[in-house]
Amino acid sequence: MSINISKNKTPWGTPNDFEGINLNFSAAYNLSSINNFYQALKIEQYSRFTLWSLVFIGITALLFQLILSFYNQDWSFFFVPQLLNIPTALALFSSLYLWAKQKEQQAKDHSLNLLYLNPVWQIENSRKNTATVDIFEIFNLQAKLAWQKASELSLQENLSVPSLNHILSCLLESLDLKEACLRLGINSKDLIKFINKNPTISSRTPELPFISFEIALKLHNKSIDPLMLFCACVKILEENSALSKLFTKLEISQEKWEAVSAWIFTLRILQDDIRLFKKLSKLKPTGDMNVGLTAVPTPFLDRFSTDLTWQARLGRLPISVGRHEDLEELFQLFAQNNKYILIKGEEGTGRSALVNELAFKMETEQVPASLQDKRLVRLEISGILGNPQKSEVILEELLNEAAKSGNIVLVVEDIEQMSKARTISGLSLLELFTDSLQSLSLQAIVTCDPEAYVDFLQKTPNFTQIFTEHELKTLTPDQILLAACVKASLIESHHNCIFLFQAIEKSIALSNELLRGVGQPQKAVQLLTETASKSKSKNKEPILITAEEIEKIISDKTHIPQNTINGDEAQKLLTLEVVLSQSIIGQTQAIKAVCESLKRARSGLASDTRPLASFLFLGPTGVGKTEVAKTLAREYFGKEEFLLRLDMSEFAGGDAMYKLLGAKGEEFDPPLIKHLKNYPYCLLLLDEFEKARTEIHNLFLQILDDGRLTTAKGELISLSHCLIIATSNAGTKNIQDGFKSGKNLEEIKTELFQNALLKTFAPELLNRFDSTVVFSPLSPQDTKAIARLQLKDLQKKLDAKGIKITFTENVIEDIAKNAFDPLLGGRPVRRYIQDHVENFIADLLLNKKLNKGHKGSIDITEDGFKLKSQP
Amino acid sequence: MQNFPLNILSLPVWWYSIGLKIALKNAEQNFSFGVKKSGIILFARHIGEPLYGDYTRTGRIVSFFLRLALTFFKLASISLRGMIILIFLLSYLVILPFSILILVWQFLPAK
Repeated sequence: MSINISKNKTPWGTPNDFEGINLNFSAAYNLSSINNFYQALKIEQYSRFTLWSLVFIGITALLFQLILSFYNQDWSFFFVPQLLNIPTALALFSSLYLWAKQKEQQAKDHSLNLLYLNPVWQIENSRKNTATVDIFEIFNLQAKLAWQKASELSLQENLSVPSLNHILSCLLESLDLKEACLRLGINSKDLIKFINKNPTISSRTPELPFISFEIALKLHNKSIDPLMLFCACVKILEENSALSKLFTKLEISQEKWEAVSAWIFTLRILQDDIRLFKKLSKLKPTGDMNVGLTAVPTPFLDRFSTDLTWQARLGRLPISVGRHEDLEELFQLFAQNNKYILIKGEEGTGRSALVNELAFKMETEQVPASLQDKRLVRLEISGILGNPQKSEVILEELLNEAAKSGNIVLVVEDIEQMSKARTISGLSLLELFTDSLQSLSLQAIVTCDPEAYVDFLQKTPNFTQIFTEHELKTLTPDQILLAACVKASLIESHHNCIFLFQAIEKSIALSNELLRGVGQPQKAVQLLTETASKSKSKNKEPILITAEEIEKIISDKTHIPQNTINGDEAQKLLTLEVVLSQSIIGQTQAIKAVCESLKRARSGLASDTRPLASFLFLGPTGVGKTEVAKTLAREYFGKEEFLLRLDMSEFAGGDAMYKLLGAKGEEFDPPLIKHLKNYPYCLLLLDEFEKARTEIHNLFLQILDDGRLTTAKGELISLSHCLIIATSNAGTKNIQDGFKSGKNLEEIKTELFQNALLKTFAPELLNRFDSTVVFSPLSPQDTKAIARLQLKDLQKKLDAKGIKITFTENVIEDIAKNAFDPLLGGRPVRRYIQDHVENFIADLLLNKKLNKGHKGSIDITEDGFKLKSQP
Repeated sequence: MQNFPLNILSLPVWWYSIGLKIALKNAEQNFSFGVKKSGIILFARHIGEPLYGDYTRTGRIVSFFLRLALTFFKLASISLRGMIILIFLLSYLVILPFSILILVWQFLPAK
């Protein structure tokens, strides 16, 4: 449903067309009309006041007359014309007039609703071609006043149309807008000042009433409120206007304004619903008995169940939104004489919400005939399973009692729990339940998740035959947002806090990405509840919960640093190259490539769903590939425990997939899954990647592309906060030969791709990596630098023991000379230092020649290492 | 109320057209609510069933007569509500001319 507004057809104030109905806007833009409006408003206020005064005076006069008549025992006063009767007669007339006006106003309030809800009304009127809707009449009083005030101010400035500036600032004075601004974290007074300082121009100002009408229809509202008018103003803002730029800077889009409006209106509608519920719930009798007096008390069932209709009446069931369509379908299924219904849906997506909603409807009898005059009773399975010896007997007796009562609709949530419990007869409780339902006259609703349905319910004999399935509809992102907003309002009332809209948005985004288990909106609501309970206000003032608070909680839960969550890690990225260069020798080009790629990936240009970054490190053994990964884990992630190193040669056998993803039904997770669950923000090092099976390579094709994997149990694990580094020795000879012959890096890479790499990896896999980094073989100079670095580590260890030792340049030369091996890279250096230098120092320490407080230097001569002590 | 004098003059027209429609609708809603509250429709649906699940012969006989008595009381309460609503509707029809008449009456010279 949309309104076509064409500029030719919609000059200022002329009728517009909406699906056969003429739309016009009666508020004329001239001072005399505005004065007339104010005058009429004043007259209305005065006349209302006068009429109410008349009513009051009339009632007083009547009371006085009654007292007098009682005293005189003469009741004919009203039929004898006299002065004192005039106020009473006027009061009677006034009250009739006031009643008439109130009813007229109520009818007007509903006109927009009728227009939206009643298509027949639209068609009939369009046939007659007489229907005209005056949009100004649908404006509520605040919107009317704001519009007229803005028009007045604009006319005083001799403007040809009302200025958007004045409209915006007048609207911002209203309570609705103040609430919306608070939710979006804006100070409405500051916004008014900004608007007044920065003129906002739009050629589409005359279209405002029509656009606000369209928004009102979209939000199903009865009238056009200041908020809708404001949303319309935001919609027509020119892109280069100062206000538009301000909203872009604050990241407040027009959609956000509309979403906040929907939140505020939904809360109002819910209040109306609660009032209606209270009125209609009087129709339902209290206790076990039904209106038809056919019910039988159920004392045994009451011990193992909760009466949801009764809980709804007491206001103990949570309010939920977004499941109306599912409820309608459920009603249809019951109306078609289906006795047993299975609600299938992921945990947290609204299965319980739907059942609770049904309880509210049953309490007010707004249900099909087959559900009328009945109670919705939830069976507490834990109570039955808690008596394993008697569970069979208990279940049978419960079902018999429920069937005998005749007014019970039974609810069993998470029915799969029953399939895991065995009875003495060897049957599962679920089989017993299904068998009993076949022979009983009862109505029941059971719930389960899709996985449990396949694993347990489908396999249970007769289950699929007797239960009619209803799969929960997937909520749209807008519906999830609105449901979370409404729930947030309920949390606010319990925890004395106020959620910013951005906090709710953030909770949905982060819980989607990083929290597993339940579905949306439950996941986001749990996060909001946790944040609210941890953000305790120190005084009576409600605490404001921002997106940062949500990030902090999620950071605590997932070990992901807050600056990574909000993308504020610039400093870390800028210094990373320097830090890596200090630890890794001879790989300047490789380090540069890694850092640049990481910067690119984290600057917001890369996809949010893919891993943080992914690299394929190529090069001979011992050149620092693994060391780069370890240093990255330490410097970028903060701790080495964020690193998970998988030796891919272990995934070469037939059980590779099992080792990586686990098996269905197994209780424990394999190392990769366990690590990803505990540390979603991590570095995954896949050593000797080429040795893994092709299936594993194919699995990583998906991981590198989508940033997620599915375990054997069917859990979806996100790797979007994971940095993946695969190392490989493939093409080592090409690299060594290339560097020896003096080719540059690009030439070597091209040759590598053409020869060695395509033989080892599929081209699509190579393309999935953000960057392929080639590590160059080490030179004798690099070996020296590595020796210096490792001797420094040794010095640090001795320092910790209180021994200050230095090494002469001869020692370094000796290590470089003896440990240099172009085939093995830097590894022989470590081994040489260990076998010669460390052994020499160990002897000194054991012979007490090197004690605490000792200072000296170690040199090498023809006889071997020598310690020269210093005073 | 923006054209107060005109509104006063047009009140009788509104009263017997749109106002009457609203009053009839209200009356109908009120009566339906009463019928629903009494549960007579649900009660009638179960007229053949015994009370409180007592399927014995005596239970059935007692239930039948008890249901008849209860149906009578429910019908009586609905009728009473209907009558009250009818009185209100009739009052609606006469109250406007009555209020004008009584106002004019006060200005007539006393006998």
